[in-house]
Amino acid sequence: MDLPIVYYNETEWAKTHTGNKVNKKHAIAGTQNIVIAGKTLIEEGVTIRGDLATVKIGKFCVLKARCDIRPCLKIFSKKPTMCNVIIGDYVYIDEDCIVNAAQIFAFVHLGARAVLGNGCVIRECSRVLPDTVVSPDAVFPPFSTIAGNPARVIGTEPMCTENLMTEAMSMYYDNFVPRQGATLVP
Amino acid sequence: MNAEYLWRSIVESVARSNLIFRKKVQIMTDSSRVSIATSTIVCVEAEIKGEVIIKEGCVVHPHVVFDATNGPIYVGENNIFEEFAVIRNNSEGQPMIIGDSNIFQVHSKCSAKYVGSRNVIGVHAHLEDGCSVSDDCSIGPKCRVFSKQNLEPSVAVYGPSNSHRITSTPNLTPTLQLEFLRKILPSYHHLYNKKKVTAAQ
Repeated sequence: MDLPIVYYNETEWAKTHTGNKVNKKHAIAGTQNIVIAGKTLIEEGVTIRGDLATVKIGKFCVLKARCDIRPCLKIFSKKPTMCNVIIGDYVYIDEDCIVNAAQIFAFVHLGARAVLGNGCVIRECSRVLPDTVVSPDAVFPPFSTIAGNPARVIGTEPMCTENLMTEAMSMYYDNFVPRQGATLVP
Repeated sequence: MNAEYLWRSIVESVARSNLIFRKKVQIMTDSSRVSIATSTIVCVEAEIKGEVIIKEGCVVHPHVVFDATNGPIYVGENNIFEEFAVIRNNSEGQPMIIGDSNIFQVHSKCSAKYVGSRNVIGVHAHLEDGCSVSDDCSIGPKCRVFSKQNLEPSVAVYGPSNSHRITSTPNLTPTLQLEFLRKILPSYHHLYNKKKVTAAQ
């Protein structure tokens, strides 16, 4: 299956030398604490709270419009700490997601409007269906299909999820091209 | 004689400048009708409209909306408002009162007429027009408290069908979290109070 070609307006997007494309209408705070590996797309209205803790995002990720990445709070015996967020490679985060997770491993698909609670961990090749609410500190095994409020494992993902996500995410990045004047418009 | 004259002129000029300063401050507060206590941290990206009074020790993250165009909003001490929370007074002229040590999490909407103390309003939770929430309540993510509904103390609202149950343990006050946020937010964000001062200069 081929993904459609998405044209974007070059004046509204910034491109870094590692190939990240970031919409200029973002709400990213604390940019010095955000590490993005490269070839990641960040759409309009995305919030990343780098001011609270370090956020690491892998390569070939897509953060769709208005999703929110914020570090999780852990209260230890003496003082509270905001834990670093680590998001792996080839992760797709759909619109209006709120990611309060401690760690999201590689090849994960988060559906639209999903809420990941404080400090949860989503392992590799999992899929979170839309409108899921993951409870705080939950840990889900690899290859799980996660759904519900509160979230439960309702099935397993195919063994080839790694290949599927790799192909889909790199195709999404390759098909996300700037609009070249009016000539390409059908 | 000369020294006395000089002294008097100094005193007079200081008094005059004080008066001018005070007038300036008064005009500023009159025009916006926003009063924020000194120990409260409000990020500059927050949007505050109408008569809003925030007491000591609160933390307001960026992109929070306080809309008090229809009636005033009074906020107590040590509350946390996380980003994209919307506090809107939809009543006609009635004040909205929010107590102490509440947490309004990301994307929560509140148009309740009264919120007590030590409540946790979860992600995407919605307190509809004219409802009231007493103390120690927890509203789960994506839950709603319906219009004109009154929640008793220590009620938890949870799940996809807004189930209710009484909780046995009271919510903890977020003292440590507040201290952490008060320390870290000013080093990354411009603060609302400071913007007003720089605008006046």
